[in-house]
Amino acid sequence: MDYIQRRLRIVFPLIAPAALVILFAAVRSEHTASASQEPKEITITLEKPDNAAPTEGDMLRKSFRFRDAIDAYTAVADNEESGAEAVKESRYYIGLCHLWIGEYDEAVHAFTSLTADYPEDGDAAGHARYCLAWIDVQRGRYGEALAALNETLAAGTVADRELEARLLFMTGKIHLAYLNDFGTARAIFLRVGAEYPGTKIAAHPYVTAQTQ
Amino acid sequence: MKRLLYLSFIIAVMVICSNTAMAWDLPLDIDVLKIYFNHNTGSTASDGLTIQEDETTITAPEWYPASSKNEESAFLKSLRMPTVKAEFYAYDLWQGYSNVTVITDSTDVWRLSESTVTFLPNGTSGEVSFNTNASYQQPDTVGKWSFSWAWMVTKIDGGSITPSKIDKSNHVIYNVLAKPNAPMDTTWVEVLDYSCVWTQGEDTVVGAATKVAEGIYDMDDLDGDLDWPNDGDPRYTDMNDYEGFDLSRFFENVDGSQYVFVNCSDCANLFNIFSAAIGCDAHTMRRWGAPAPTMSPMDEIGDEQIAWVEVHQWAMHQYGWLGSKVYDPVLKLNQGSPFVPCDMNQVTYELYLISSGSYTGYEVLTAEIID
Repeated sequence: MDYIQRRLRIVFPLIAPAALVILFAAVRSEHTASASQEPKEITITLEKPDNAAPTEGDMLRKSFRFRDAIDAYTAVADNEESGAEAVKESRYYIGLCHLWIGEYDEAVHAFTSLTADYPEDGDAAGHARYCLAWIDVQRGRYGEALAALNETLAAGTVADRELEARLLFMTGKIHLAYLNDFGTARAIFLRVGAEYPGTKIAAHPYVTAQTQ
Repeated sequence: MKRLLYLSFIIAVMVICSNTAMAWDLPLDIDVLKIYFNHNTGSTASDGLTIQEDETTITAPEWYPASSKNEESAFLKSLRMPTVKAEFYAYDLWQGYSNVTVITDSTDVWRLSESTVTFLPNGTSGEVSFNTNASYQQPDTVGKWSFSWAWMVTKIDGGSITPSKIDKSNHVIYNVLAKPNAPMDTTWVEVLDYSCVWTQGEDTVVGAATKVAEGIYDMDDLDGDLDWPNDGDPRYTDMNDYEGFDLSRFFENVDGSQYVFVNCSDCANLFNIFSAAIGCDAHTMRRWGAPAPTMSPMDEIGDEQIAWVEVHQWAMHQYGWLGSKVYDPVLKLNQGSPFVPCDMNQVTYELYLISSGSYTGYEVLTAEIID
């Protein structure tokens, strides 16, 4: 089921506009063919959703063409006509692309500036801080990673429950893998299962093993 | 009605698209779930030995952090390139990838070669085999090592990426000379913790057995040494057969007592057990005679400083026996300088040991573990 959902996430943004066009054509065709009924106009404005703007960058990024993806995201972020959400999302993915190609300094800059520029957006900050913690782990800065994650969780500004669960899970993973602290890790994984039931991360083997 | 259905579907599509776009992707998220060192208990040709701890056999996976499990493993020293198996879990296959290439990085000696991990749609990988990196083989000596592996992903679906650390695992391994012998057929970790440390770096039976005998002589309890009992009687050896040895009680006392007393039979059986654990074909030799021979000056186990005792008469004596040579961890002899008798011809040994009289009886015994 997870696999299907993941595939849908990739495929839907690509096929959705086409599906909309096809469906509306079908609706209009039915109206035209129905001579006995007086045609009733249904009007839906098909504006390009603001958050669909980074699609080109997404495709490049998911093809591991991270340099090209950064260019595409930068074009969106620098375009004055781009919507606020598209700019925000593009800036996040610029950081993620730098992360993927190991340019951690550039990634850190992208993520920290994102959190600074959108202090009111807890989810954006949550994603950015997750990535910053991930980079800290790569650099062996486990204490710093934990501090950032715990601070984000304590602030209580992350609205996305799945993201919040993953932030908590990551603190457990750091204790488990890098600090060799099984006890603390186990307690955290238990919390993930108890406080975030139904989230995808609650089905992680580290979490489910604690209740078996 | 159809119009309503169409509209409902359109709205559903838009909602889904909207939701998926809002869920931002996160970095690579793969975990090492389990590591198997003794994955084929029927063979030692390519993996670990079967060992036990707390009188319980250790089973693979030895490393399973989700269950707070991190057990030791042991290998034959001749097995320079063991195969290790590991299981992985990919939390988020968001990129649509199906496999990754994983390596272990380490500042220590033993590393694994890269291997491709293929994920099922549910994120699990099953057991993946890793061969030893030929440039970083296991040591070819006896010993104990603690080390860490940093697990790194280097490729995704065959495409190189900046190596990303996905996990870290800590391990303790032991190398032994050969397949352990009775009474350590299934070797105790508690024994290896002594034997493999004493024999660190050794690669011969004589060298390792010598280090074992010297190790027993210098072994610590809470006050820093094992002591000779005033009455000369064994404390852990069954006096009915001189083979039975209460190893569990011995370790309990060593870890928790200042007054651990051992006589010659105890030390001989300890030599037998601790040598057998690393693959030596060790036994004990029991000797007796009447009248009791008089011993030469010796330094019995337990004295912090050399103290030559001259008044012993031992009607019976028991010592380690390996390759028809004497290893006696209960004493030091003095032939110009003090030494623990090791790899000694029996005639020479008893010539040094006995000042008058002789032993006439003998039997070769093999230690047995008793409760």
